[in-house]
Amino acid sequence: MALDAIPAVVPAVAPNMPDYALARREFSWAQARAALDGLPGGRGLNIAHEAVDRHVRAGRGPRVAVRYLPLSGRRQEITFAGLARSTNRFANLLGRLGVAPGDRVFACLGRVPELVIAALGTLKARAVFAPLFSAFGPEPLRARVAIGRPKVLVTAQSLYRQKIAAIRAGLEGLEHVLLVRDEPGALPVGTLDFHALLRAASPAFTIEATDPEDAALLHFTSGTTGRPKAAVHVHEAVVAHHATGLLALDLHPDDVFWCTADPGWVTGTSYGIIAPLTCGVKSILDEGDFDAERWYAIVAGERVTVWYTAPTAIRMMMRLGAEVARRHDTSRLRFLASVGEPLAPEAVAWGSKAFGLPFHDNWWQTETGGIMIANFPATEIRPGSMGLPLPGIEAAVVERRADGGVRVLPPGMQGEIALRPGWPSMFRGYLGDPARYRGCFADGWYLTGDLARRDDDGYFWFVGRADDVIKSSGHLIGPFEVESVLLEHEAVAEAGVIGRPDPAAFEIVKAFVSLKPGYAGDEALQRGILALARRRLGAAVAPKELAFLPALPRTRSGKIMRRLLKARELGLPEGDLSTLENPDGPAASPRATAP
Amino acid sequence: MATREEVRAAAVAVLGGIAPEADLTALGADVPLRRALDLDSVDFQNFLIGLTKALGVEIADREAAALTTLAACMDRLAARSSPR
Repeated sequence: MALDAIPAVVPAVAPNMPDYALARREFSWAQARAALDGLPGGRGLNIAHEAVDRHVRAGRGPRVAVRYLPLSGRRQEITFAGLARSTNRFANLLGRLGVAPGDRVFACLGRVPELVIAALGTLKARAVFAPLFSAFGPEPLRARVAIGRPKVLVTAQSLYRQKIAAIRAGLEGLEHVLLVRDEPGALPVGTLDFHALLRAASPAFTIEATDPEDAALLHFTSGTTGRPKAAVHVHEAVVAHHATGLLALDLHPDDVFWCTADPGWVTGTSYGIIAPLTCGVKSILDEGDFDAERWYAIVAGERVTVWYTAPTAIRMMMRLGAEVARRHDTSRLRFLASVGEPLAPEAVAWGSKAFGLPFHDNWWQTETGGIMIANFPATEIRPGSMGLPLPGIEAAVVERRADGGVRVLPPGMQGEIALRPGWPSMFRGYLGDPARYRGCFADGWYLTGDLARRDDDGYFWFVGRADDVIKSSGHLIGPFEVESVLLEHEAVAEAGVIGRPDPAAFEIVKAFVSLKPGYAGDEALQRGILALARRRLGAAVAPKELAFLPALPRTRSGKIMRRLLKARELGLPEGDLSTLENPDGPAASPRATAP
Repeated sequence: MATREEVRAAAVAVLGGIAPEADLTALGADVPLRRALDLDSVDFQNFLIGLTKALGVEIADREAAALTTLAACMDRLAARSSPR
């Protein structure tokens, strides 16, 4: 559905970027870097110093950095001074545990203050921080630990019991597990008490000289084939976190900012932790999961001014109706933004009905580290569009040529989004996989794997993924990771996994399997396979639907043709079948589908 | 009109299809379903759709959020459902 453009309105607070065209002409990353302090004495650049310590040095220590809303119990406020002390303690604690600069520290936690402390304390110690999605099952966790080989894992007592204890022995290189108590009972053997160690550590710490190109963060993402990818980001990234916080989220010092992203993904770090802190604003940290009415109560009660959320949540709020939102006093809100999947025009407009403000969609990915393309406060919103490139970002729609180069496409044509390397939060590699990293670049462009077209005014419009990666509830899911687990089932001969469009989650994971001789594709077997997948992968990654096929379509070289499975599922033209092994083979009509 | 026990049986049957790995015989009436059974938002939506079909009731979106436990399902749905 096409909706009219929504003109930028004169806001109550002057936007940080009142004139987009002017900002694009005048912006430089060197200037953006100069807006930060750097470590005292010219000793480099460290994300944690910019996020926390520099505010304390400037006399802003008593200001509230994080307001934490636990599932049960009273809300807590953490000041910048308090955060400086607790992150110092964590940095000291890591030193005592033998963690050296460059070592990895992983966290598998929900939205709790310990996550913020672990992330920033790790950066102070010049170790590398990686968040893990706490909804992952044991297998995705094991695979990521095997790639990142952390020395320390910080998690919750309950998560450890449910997902990690059973695989602990196989986690090579992991020396220490620190647990945050969240259930009764003694901590298991071989684990340490996070808070006991934190209390015992000194609150004084000086960040050592940090090269801006030193690795700081590791974010996992999924590809079409093979194992997950661990994108490496460096301390210099904070320049982009800060600048995009100002320009794309329009953060002002007196804002109350709420980023609802899960801490296990890049948004939860870049905009759940770093950007609001570097901008010195107060952030809401809500432990609970999505619940529309509770969320409205938080926006009202905490006087949230800038809200950064996701399409899945917005679509679920829409189902309840705008009048439910209007019963709450959300009048402090002044800017709404969304990321994760393309935001439908109706959802952009629904923001105006429910909150008196449209949602501003923006686009970026794990590898870019920060927002690259956005609808801004002072630019017209084109509902359904990702918006315009940030100042300092050169973006294009390109086509890969047969000779390995790329061609920039004119407006109106569909192609792959490409970015000109050089922005500070660009990933610097995939850990342990230099070939895969090199494969992301051609002709001086970073190729994103996302398809889009550009209109005559330069607005980008998302089309889909160039590969088979599934976008579900704001996460990327690699089909290979799911297929590998399905193949562990004794009855499964072949497995192919696709993203099936879904009104709430954008896509859901749908699996097609063929069975070994002697097995019947009945409901009991279907449940048995799904049960295995959910136990091993967790609900966020496991298939929601499973269908049996006599055989899966393969190319002559033996690769399962997910594209064809998807086309058949959607009733779309099947496209070029010239590489299909047996085009007249068994039709892909599902015999059973669940639930 | 379904009895409380019929609502409970229907809910357990639907959950068995969504989270077949879970031991539902041991599921207490007051246990939060989403956390205990690792249900994400899509799973929970499928749970509501399944309940609607099994019990022949309309579940308003506003009411859905309250169906967090088996006890809550029984409390809210037993009185007014007519099983198919």
